[in-house]
Amino acid sequence: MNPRESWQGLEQDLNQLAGQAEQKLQALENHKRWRSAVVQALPVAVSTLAVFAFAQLLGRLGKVSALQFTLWPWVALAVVLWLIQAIRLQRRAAQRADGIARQRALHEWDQQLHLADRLATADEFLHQEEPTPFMQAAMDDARDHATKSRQASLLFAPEDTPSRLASPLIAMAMCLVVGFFLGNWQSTPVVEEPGITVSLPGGSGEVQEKDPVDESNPPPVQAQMPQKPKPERKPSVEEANAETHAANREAGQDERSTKGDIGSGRSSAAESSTGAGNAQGTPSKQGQISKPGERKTGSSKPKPPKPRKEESGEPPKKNEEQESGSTAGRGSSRGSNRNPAASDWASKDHVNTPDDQDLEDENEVDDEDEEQESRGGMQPTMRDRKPPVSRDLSIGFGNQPSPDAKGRGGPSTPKKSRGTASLVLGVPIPDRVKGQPNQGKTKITQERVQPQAEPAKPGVAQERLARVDPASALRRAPLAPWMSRIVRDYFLQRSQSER
Amino acid sequence: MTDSSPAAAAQAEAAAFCDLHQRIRQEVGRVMVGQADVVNGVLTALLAGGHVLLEGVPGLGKTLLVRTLGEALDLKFSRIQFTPDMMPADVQGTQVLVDTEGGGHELQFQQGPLVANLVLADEINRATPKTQSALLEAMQERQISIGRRTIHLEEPYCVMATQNPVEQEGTYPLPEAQLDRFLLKLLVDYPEENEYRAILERTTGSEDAKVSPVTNGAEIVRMREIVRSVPVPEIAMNHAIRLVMATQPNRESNSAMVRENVALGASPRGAQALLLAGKVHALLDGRFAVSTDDIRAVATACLRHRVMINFHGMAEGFSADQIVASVLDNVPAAV
Repeated sequence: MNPRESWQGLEQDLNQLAGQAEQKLQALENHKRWRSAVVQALPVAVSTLAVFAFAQLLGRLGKVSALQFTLWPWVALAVVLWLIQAIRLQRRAAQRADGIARQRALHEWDQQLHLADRLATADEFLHQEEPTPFMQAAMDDARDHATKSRQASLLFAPEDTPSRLASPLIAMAMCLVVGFFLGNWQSTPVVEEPGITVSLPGGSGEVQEKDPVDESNPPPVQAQMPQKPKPERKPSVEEANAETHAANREAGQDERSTKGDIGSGRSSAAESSTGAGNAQGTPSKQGQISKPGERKTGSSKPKPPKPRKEESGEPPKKNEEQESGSTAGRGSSRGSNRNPAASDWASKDHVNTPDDQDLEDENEVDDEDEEQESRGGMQPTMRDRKPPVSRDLSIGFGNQPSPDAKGRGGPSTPKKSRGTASLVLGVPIPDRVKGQPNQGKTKITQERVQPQAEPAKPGVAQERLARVDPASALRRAPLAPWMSRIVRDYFLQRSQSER
Repeated sequence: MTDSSPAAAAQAEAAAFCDLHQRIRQEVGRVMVGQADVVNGVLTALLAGGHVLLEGVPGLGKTLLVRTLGEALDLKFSRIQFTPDMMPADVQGTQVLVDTEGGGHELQFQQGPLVANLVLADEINRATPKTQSALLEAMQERQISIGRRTIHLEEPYCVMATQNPVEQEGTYPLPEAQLDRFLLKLLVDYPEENEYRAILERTTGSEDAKVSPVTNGAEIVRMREIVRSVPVPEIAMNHAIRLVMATQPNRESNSAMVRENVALGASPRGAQALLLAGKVHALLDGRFAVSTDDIRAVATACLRHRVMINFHGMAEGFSADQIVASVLDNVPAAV
């Protein structure tokens, strides 16, 4: 008897078992797909009910009154959309799903009957062209098991309810409750809606005329609640009061809040110039710039007191500078009348640079004053650390870099040494000898200045953390914080003990 | 179907295999009390053509088991007691100066204890990694290269190593490459109460149990061929591959436990070990092909020394066995 013929019975048994298992597994897969689709489609229903709740909220606020439906049409809409989405998802999943493999079906039998893969193995060996002796023995071994398995049936345990079903259901319930609550609450005061809708688009003159009437006649309590988000009306009412009571503090605060509206059409430079004008005591340009219509809104009058207070400290300084009469650089205005040697050159060549302006600190000037007083009277300043003015006699640039260099080092015009370099204190200047290839002697002059401690910003330890990435190709999982702490404590203790 | 059919021949071979296994077990059981899983594992490694590493605290009979097995198998047996000052030449062999008949001297090669059929590497982790690594070539290529001389080792060749837990004093952990060459790593645990009684009766009396050889090298080689001829269906092979891949931490699809706590996963040699040990398991279970159940049954012994726990995992207190168990939980046997 041909071995192939002897395994025909086994093959039939396996076919029957595989077919039976495939049907059951297919049904199970369909069921799983449906469950998954139903759960995945739940957000659609949740969204619909959320829209319902939002519509109820809008209706309550009086924004959209047309969306105020009853509950049940919304629920019906949610259910319909949910079903449509679930069907769509299930069909899509069914299209993507592969069929149940025969090997998987037989493996299910093996697992349920504890056959140690005998059926699946025999099915695989049956399709071998030249089965080895051990394969044949395996098929013989599986024959009896396959015959016995035909009398059994596959059982699948029911699946638990997926936990992800809970949150959408809770969300749906919350939307329903919120929407229902808002809808019921809204339904009684519908009569007062016209009053609310008239007052909301305020901002024009009509509203301002209407409101005082409303305030004189106190409206019902329900109508006052929506009037809360109307801050523009209150300043407009007090605006009239502000003209008569300029010192009213509340009005001034409210005017400050409307400051941006008035100055919005101007640049920041324009504002600063007006501030300067105020400091000089000249009449404010603000009133000239602003149109008569704007002035009527009444934000300009209460505004001036505050800038005056802020800029009250500056005008005396400027007057002092003007009194000095010096035309030298403004930064050295104090020193210009005490160090006349520098003034002529400075007036000609000195160009104000940001560095020069930095040196004009108030503190430094005060220190010099104190020193002069301690020496007993006016004496020449010994600590003039200001950078010397340029004595470059070349025409045109002064201390500015040559425009031909265009930002690069480049060749510049030949320097004219007139002893300027040697006057720069503390800077070693190589004394070049013309026609000599190497440097000549170096002349160094030092300034006798007591060193002063400068506060240095301490280094931040976080910038020098330990290595984060792995040092080698091997992957290292990041340590838990408590483990890092243990390791750190260990090494700290160790270093302390070594000391 | 007649008895002369190939299937019947295979069944006869499988029966002979089980019979030999049973005889060896009985003979070892005359000396060794209990430790059935360890004895099974040692025989599995021997019949599958691999090496075995036994780990346990001193006094549990690791050395006794291997020595008894050497006596029962009638093979060339040698024992190497590893010490920290041992050098590779002490294991592999070296050239010594000998006197010649003419009164002169010459260098003569003297084989080390590694040249045998069954090698007991006792307390292998007491030697330095340099000496431990001297076994690498012998275990994998079944040959020893010393200078220009290459010695081919005779089959069957099996290294049975014992080691104390690495936490003990004076031990050097085995290099990963060395560990990977062991087919199985077996943990020897303390015996049960009733086993203590038998141990004491056998070891403290006047009678000494004698072990007689029940097989020889040729038969062991024949059994190894039988093991190799056991077919592996696709479903079992896929499962072995998925198990090995599931121990590798660099795969995003693996479980968080593996990704966070494993520094090094199993190599393809681990999959080979799963299939070879699974074949022995299937034969001993009376089947003629490997199943996923066989793979899962031997997975812990085959993979526990191939999974290296990282510092994070050690700090969390995870062991390699726990990692392998989690891998087995996460990789289902289904297709």
